[in-house]
Amino acid sequence: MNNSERKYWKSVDELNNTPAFQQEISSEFGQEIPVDEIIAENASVSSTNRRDFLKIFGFSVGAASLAACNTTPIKKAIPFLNHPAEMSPSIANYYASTYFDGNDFANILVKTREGRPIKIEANNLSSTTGNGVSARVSAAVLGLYDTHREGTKNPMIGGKEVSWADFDKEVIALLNDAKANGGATLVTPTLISPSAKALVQTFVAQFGAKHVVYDSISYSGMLEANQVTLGKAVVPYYDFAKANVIVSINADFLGNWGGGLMNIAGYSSRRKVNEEGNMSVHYHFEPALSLTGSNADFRSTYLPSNEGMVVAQLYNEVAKQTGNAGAGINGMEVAGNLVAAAAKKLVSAKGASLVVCGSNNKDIHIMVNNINKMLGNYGQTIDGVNALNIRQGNDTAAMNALNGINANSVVIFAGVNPVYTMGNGSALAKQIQGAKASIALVSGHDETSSVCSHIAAANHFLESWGDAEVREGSYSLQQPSISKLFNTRSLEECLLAWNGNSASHYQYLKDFWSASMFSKQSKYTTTDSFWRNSLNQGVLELTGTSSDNASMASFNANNIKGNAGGLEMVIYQKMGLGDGLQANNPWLQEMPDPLTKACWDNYLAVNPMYAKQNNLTEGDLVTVEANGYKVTVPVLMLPGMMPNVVALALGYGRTKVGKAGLNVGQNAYPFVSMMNGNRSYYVSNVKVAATGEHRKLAQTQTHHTIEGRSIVKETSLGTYLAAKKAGKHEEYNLRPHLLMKNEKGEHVKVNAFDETVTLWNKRKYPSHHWMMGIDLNACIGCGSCVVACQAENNVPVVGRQEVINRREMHWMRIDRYFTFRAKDGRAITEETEYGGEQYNYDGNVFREFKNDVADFSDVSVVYQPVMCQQCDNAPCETVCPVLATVHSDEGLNQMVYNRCVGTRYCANNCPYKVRRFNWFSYYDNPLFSDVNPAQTELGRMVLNPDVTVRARGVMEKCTFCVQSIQAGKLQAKKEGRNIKDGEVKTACQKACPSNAIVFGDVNDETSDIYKLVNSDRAYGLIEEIQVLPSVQYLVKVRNNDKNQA
Amino acid sequence: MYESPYRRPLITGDDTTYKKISDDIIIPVEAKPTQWWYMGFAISLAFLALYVWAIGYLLWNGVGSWGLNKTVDWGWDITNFVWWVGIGHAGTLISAVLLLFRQKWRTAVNRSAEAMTIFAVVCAGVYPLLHAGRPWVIYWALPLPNTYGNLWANFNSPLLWDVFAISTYLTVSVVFWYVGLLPDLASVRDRATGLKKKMYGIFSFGWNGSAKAWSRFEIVSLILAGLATPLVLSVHTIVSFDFATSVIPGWHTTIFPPYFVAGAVFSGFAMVLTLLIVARKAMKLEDYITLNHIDVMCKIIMVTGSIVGSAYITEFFIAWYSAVEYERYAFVNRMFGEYWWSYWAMMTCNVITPQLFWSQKLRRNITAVFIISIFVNIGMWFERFVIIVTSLHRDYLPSSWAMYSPTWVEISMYMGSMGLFFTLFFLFAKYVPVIAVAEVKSIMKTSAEKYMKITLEKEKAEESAQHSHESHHA
Repeated sequence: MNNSERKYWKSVDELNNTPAFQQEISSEFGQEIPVDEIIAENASVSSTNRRDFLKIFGFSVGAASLAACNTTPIKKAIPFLNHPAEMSPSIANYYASTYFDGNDFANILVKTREGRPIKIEANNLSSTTGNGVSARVSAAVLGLYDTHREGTKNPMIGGKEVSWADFDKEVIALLNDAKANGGATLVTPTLISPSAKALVQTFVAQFGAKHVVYDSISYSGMLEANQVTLGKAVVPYYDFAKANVIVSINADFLGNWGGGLMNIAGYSSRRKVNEEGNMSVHYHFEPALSLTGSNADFRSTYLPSNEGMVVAQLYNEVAKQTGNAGAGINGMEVAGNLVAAAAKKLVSAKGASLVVCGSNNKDIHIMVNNINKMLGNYGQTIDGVNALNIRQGNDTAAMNALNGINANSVVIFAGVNPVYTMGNGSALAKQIQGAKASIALVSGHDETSSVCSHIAAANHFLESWGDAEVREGSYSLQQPSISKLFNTRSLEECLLAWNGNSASHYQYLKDFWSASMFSKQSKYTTTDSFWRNSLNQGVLELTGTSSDNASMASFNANNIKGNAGGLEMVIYQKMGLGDGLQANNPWLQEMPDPLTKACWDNYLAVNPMYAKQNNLTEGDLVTVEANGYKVTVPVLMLPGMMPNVVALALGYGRTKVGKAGLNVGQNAYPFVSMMNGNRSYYVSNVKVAATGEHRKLAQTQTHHTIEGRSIVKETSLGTYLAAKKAGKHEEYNLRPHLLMKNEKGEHVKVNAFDETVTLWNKRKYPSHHWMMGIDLNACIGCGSCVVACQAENNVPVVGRQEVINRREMHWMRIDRYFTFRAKDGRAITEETEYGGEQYNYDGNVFREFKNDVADFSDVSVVYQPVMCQQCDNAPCETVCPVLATVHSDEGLNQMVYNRCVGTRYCANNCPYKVRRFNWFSYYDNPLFSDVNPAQTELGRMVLNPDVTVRARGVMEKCTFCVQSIQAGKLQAKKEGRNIKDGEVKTACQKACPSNAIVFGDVNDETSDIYKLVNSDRAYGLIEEIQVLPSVQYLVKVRNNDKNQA
Repeated sequence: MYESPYRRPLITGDDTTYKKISDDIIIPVEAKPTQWWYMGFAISLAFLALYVWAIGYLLWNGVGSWGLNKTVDWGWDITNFVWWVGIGHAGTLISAVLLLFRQKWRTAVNRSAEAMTIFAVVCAGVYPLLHAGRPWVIYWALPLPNTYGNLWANFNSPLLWDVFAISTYLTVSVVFWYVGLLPDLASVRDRATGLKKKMYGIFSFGWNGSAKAWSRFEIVSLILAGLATPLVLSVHTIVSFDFATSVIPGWHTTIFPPYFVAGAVFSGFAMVLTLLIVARKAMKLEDYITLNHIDVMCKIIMVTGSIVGSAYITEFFIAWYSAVEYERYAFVNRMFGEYWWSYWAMMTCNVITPQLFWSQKLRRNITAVFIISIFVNIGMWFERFVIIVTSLHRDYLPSSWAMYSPTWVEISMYMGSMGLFFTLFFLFAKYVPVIAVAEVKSIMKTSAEKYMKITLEKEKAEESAQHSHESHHA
């Protein structure tokens, strides 16, 4: 059979080849498609009849309208009808202004975007605070957008909102009525504004009123002392830059004492080791560990009640060596005989030394002033002529005025919150409620305003005009950088209205400056150019020359001795919250304290030995009782404390404040008592009793020593200079090296980063190579950079519980390590030697105390800012499965948020642990609505539009402020030039008041960063693992050679 | 093939026939499940519900509902992932490697061991998906074409290798297991009626038992065994790369690949024993999964356990010998740090307990074996916990040192993944013959007690006959 002829058929139909089959195979679709019917114009032909059509039509319309019921939020973007000349979308504008809240002062630049202030930076033209800002100043911008302000949107009388016209009418009537009863009382913090002072004078004259200056933190003892020795009640200006020898007795001058921020630049300029190897030496005596004390070269502790005796000891020593009469009382030497050593050093640097004291005791201050006089420091390091205008409140006067409030009083509180900050706040609250009228100028209710009958809704300072004279001859202007968000007024505007002055505040201020300031200068010839330039620059510095205007004075030796006895407690301000005015600021609440690394709480800081002796562990709740007042706070072990001294911070325990600050910690103000007519910031006979309960402390760092690792390299000045001279850099800065055979077979030392050693190809950065350098000598650990970074980069606030969960989001942190001294003098850095920590999932405690540690109050502290190190061989980059983190050709380790799937492998593999993961949706999860400002319409206004708000499940980290780098490059490109050194600055660098951070392009060999990374002191953090970090640290040099102690 | 008469029988009983084997193994599939089955299944479902709830909670709130933090970014999630993947390895080893080595005892355990592999890999696979911050875009880890041009996955990342390793493993395991099931599904079909017959008919892919079918079956089994064999080594090697390629002290260790593979086989056999000791009792399969099977598996546990123990000691030696202070600290911290208890739990369970199997008495004591197998499972879980958590929680910079403890979500997900595993296993035990009927039948003539006796007698008879013959001649 022939196979090829064989036929197959698929069906019987095909075999039979019926006509039906023929027709079927000719059509593509089995069934005829009624094309004609569909396209027919005549609907009656169609099988879809009218009824069907209406049914379908009705359904479609109904469905469409139902679907439309789900409204998609419409966000309108309306272009400017009249474009403001100075504003370009996406380009930031900076306005020079001034920050002063009665407590902190700074000359600032306000960065605005599209009309919104989003960041506060330093005004570099200022010689007082031009180097940087403090954390509180940086954070103040958030206060503008505080939803708590919505509680005082309009002026209110008896809780009802009224118009300003009605409000003024009633207030003026009240003020006029009060004339008969000795006039109204206006309570303000220290006013440093010349124009406001003039308004207050007019007000006082017009209404027969009293002006009372009430500062939350008192310096009145010092003022009284200076009244005696300088002839005026002022805080003198201290020039730390000129001081070779600094002795501080409990003056936290880098933190909250004196000018605070003003002192840092001068101090740290002398803490950097210059070419000649000069640096100042700093002796510090204090009962509790402070930020300043932690930066000292030599430090010792004493009981707060012995403060006068320690000063007397110094007095006697200095007097003896300078041939003066002694103090007339026996002093008290501290551990290590450091007072004598300090005195010797002071005398050797006569005229270039400085003694400062944080006491608020008049007689102790007279002693300190006498010491400085003996040392010839007036007119040199101390300027009593061009003194500071801050802290002018006199305690006796203020207390008398406030305690004298009665049923006939009309009292105005402007910028003060005495119900919270005064010891007898609750009694004062009753008095205010009983007064005839009480007017609070307040932005968001506080403890005082909530008992006041009249509320004058106040501006935020970023909405106000103003001026300041922080130091004699140092003027500055304050200008609004946004129009008022609510129907509010500043103090000056209120006073203008009540004084009957119809001028706007702007006009008044301009006229005032033209009248009073213009004549003081000669640079500008017309008042107009003077005003415009002053406003543009923000500062007008006309400080005169200094001279020795001090005289020796006698003091009352009986008042020197403090109230001794029992356990003594120091009441202090933290770097974050300060006096508590900004307690509702979540950035500050979440800022780790430089020393304890704790946030969202105040606590009783105790020496670890004290805790051991009293069977306390970290986080144990204790009641603290003194002066008839009792609080319950957790215990925190802090080395460096005097063993029988405890410390509690002010600024917490606010009861009338927004959600973020409400009931955080306990109020310590009632512990502040009057002593010899001034408020005293320590109490004796404190009773501490365990409650048996426990409260977890929110700390961002719980391990406190470097475990002997060369993470922070440290040397003494003597060792450094000798080794440097001998060319033996490895003695203070041992870099990783390998032994390798050369051609002759000899073993030679090879730099571990040599290209012949590493397996990796060295990366090439043809255009820019961004690097950062941090001088560990200059860094004082204040934490300003942390908050500035948070503001710049929209870093979410996560709240207390998440910090306890160790999930704070800060892109940069300041690592703080303690070193203890062993009995044999060795430095102890390992937990196996000092006792270490123990976790019970509640927190950590110093476990068992090894006898090796001589004394837990003798501690040495180092600070190390750590952010993403932008490694050349970045371990995070290789492990990301989706290439969400990649290297740029400018040396940056870039994070692509959109690409991140959130495996967190990069964070695990980061040796520096600087990567932060969005565990939750911080910007809309209700868990965080109390703390995260980005959850409200108002709060979102603070966000930097150049930086993405990160979504849940995405990794984030420091980018070296890549948005600023790009902006800088763009600017240079537009101008057709190369980028200049120092043109691009990171947020941390701009905020740093001590100029510890240098950033730039190392491809530019003239740049500061090039010099820094090639310095003999430069090293990379854990550089031996060959990740080649782009951040370099300078070895810390302490001026603590034995011969000075 | 010659079978030594001194080998112990793999099928016990004096009445072993093909019919009996079919009945013994297939009747549980055909009969109504016992009360015990319902009870176990209900408990498993309850845990499965917990699993679903915990996953829902996790997806709604974010990975923050776990106890991880800025320092310890992996915790129970990856611990459980590695643990489950490791468990799977016994199945593959039994069905692939032992097939190639022609180990007859594997026939009784390979079906359930392989099922265990698949279910364990499913349980494991959930973790890498859900541990991600944004699981809805986890597919970006696949090298898929996309609209971003040449945006591709990062082939440097061990996590990407994981994706390939685990997905390959799951695919091969499922195919291998299912192919092995075909003749048995057909047996069930042939014995069944009605819908059951139809369903098993579909699932047995029309198996007709012809010589051709058997021949192909054998070939495919061998090919798949050949494919699966490298996976025994590669999967856990790649999982170990997640750690070994990093820079973290305690992770950065070249010993990890062999150590992980040995550990995986170790834990896998422990899990097989845990499951089968219960199953043989519950399903009355003592004649097929005999003490001899258990004995052999205990020996494997002992050997792999010793490898793992040596690896632990080697790690310590190298940490000391390297003189790298971070390495040294990491290992001292394991022993005496805050997580000392997990380290000593690991050492006790993984190093000491398997050594008990040197005693034949213990190897053949069902209770002892069951308890030790549980110990090994616990120990291997702690091994992964120790590696992941204690290495991370204290790495280079002491400032970032932190502690980690799981939340209820992580604990529920772990318990829940057990629920998923046992739910699947109960379904498997109900609907599929838990022992490869056809394969067991293939060794009946050589390894069943009854036939071995017959053989022995025959040989003896022959021997004596020959002896008398020889003596006759002499």
